[in-house]
Amino acid sequence: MIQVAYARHFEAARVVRLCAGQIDAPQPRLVLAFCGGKHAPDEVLAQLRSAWPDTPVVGGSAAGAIGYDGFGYSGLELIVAAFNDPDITPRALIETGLDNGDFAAGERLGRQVAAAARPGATVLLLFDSVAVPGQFQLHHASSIVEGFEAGLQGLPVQLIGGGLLTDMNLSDGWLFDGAQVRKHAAAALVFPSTVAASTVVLHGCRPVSTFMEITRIDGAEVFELDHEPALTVIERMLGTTLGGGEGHDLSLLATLGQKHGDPFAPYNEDDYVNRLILTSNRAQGSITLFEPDFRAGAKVQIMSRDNSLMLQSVRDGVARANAGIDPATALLNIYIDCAGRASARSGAHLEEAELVVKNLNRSVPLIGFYSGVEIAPFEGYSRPLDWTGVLATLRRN
Amino acid sequence: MAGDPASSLERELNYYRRECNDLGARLLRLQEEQSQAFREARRSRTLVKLLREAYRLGDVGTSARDVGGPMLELVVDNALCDRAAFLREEPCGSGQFLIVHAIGLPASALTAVVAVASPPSFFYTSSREREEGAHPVLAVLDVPFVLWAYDRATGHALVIGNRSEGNVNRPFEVGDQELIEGALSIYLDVLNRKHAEAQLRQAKQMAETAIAAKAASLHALAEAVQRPLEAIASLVVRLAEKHQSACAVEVQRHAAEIQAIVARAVEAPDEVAAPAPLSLEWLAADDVVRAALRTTYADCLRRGVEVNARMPRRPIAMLADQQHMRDAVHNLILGVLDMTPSGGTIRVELSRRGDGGMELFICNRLPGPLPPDFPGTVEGVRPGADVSALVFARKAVDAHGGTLIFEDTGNGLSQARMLLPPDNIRDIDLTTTRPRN
Repeated sequence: MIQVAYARHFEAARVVRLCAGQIDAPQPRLVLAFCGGKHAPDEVLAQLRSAWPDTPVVGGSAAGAIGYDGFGYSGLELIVAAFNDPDITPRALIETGLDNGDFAAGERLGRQVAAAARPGATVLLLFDSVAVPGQFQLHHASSIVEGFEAGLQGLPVQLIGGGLLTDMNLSDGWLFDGAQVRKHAAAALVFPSTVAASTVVLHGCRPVSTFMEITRIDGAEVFELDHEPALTVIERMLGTTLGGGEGHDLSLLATLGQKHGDPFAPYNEDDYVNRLILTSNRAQGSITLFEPDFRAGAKVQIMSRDNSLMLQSVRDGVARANAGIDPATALLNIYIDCAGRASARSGAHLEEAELVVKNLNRSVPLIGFYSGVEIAPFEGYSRPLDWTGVLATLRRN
Repeated sequence: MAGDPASSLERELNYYRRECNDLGARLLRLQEEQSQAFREARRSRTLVKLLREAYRLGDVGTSARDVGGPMLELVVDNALCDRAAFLREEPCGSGQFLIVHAIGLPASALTAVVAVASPPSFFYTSSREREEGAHPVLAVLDVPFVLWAYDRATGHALVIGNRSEGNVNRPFEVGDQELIEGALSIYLDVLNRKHAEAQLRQAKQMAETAIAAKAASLHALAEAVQRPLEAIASLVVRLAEKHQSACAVEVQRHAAEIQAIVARAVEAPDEVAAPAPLSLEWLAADDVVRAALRTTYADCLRRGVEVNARMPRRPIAMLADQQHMRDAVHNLILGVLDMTPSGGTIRVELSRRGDGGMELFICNRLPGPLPPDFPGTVEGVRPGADVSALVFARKAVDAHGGTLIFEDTGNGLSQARMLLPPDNIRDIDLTTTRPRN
């Protein structure tokens, strides 16, 4: 049995007390916790350890939290899931050193998982998204996942996950590793083979351009599209200048999308992998994406965030998730929601998280958080996604 | 070449590509404009939301000291800022600020004193309008972009701040003055309300303590006088049976009233000690005054003071508690009687004022110079007067929305003037039954 509690308060001790008061297990086997970034992480962890002294606490910062009892992104939220049944409690594996290389740290974590997991195991990957606080430099999920896949050495797993942020402006991130607060760290929660997951990805972007070729790229920095400076192309489309004077504004006005499968097949949101634009560099005429996984020669389209499409995608996706839920075996809904989808950033007239909360089958507990990046199965393997909501339902096999 | 099918197709393709990109660009801009409009609408709703939530917060049992944290939480949640703090200037006007509540700052910030010489009532920073040098306000939150409001009268300030500017944290601007000043103003309103509630609670507690003490002494007193009073009452009954005079009947009636009061004071001293709530009804004003005159008649007679009463030609009704009002008039007459030596006269005049209200005027006329042993005047009330009775009268008149004015003309003449507002007064319709008394 998994119990979930949500609370919001400006005092760390109080917010933990409010959550702990809703969990009636004195000694859970593991607590998964996502905490708003305005709380002092050490204080929150100390309070959580005080509430459950011998229970490992895994999770970390989140731009906001989403539960049936409330959701928000003030930075003062806390949501916890207490795992009490050993048959469904995940094993937490930790790897630090993302600051010395995302791929390498991912690979080390993958090796740990390969040694501990059975084929097909469900793995929840959480990692600190921010490489340099306040500088818009990220730990790239695509590098971590590539390293992770390499470390698995062919072991098939069902990987879902999200990047941890303290707020919507990508100021910082941190991770609870069971007993401590860690920076530049990743955690893999490996579920027993008795637990499986089904995943629905909720989108919200629509192509608004013809295909363009990436003619020059270095990592996440795109210099040219169709041999033109990428920034010029994007600004022409937007009819505005990106990045103000310093180029550190998060534009988030548009994304670049790569369509998989038949490029000329009718639009299907599930065919796209989208990348948000993180910053721009006027001197170089370049734009920097959230992830460095697009390659030179790739055909991409400029994608518009479409709020009505996003809300419809949520309605449809939640309906699909509900249809797949068997209350007899379902254990936990996990919603990993891109922070950019929140109304304060997207400008949507409705909170899409609210639609999830209202429409999801409430017989299954829900723990959700606002993330920097989402990881979900895509075309047979897992990869990072931007501007999506990943709704995973854990069930007993 | 125009006739070349491949070239023609290429041209057509380029045409559709251009049109597709143009339409896409328009769609993108429309989408962004719509998003921007929603974001601004959300921001403009902030104060309304804050107002609603703050007063809801004010209704729950939070103390003034504890209200700041939740209020700041509301501000942060609605303004979506990185850091925020309420500050208090200590002492007011010194430019030395204590951070009394903060979100996003380390706990050590709460012990710091921040110096902001000549604090501005409104201040903001943005990347577009950078300050020359570091403004002291920036030190409060230690972030580059701040929005500040300061209330000079109370010495309170609110500051919110962001590390960066972006879509969520759009640059602060002069138009945000309403937001920050409104939020501070709401906080101060709730704070004042909480202070008033605390004072009210304290006053209520003191009143309850006083009533309890009064009830205890009343109970003891009533028990002590009950038995002798019963003896006197039975004697009065016998006298009344024997003499059958109006005076004896009046004495018997009063004795019975006193017995009832004493019995109630013995059985339920709390109820007697606590001020009874008003039971308002329309009463014939002259009947109330006449009833009070009857209850003071014996005293006046004993003191050799004559009473002249004049009632209005057209009877008037007052909305009043019969018992309270009768006792108030009774006390006022006795108060003037205390100031009047033997041979003097008390004049009681009831009249309708020009504004529709009612006036009851009670004054005395002396037979000559005051006797040398007659009590002197001290600050408008003579030591001989029953002060508690006059205080009761004032409270009773206040409770009816009226005004009671005591005047001492300085030459031994005393005057009491009771004024009741027009809303409590009306003519008596002579064609119907008079209001009860």
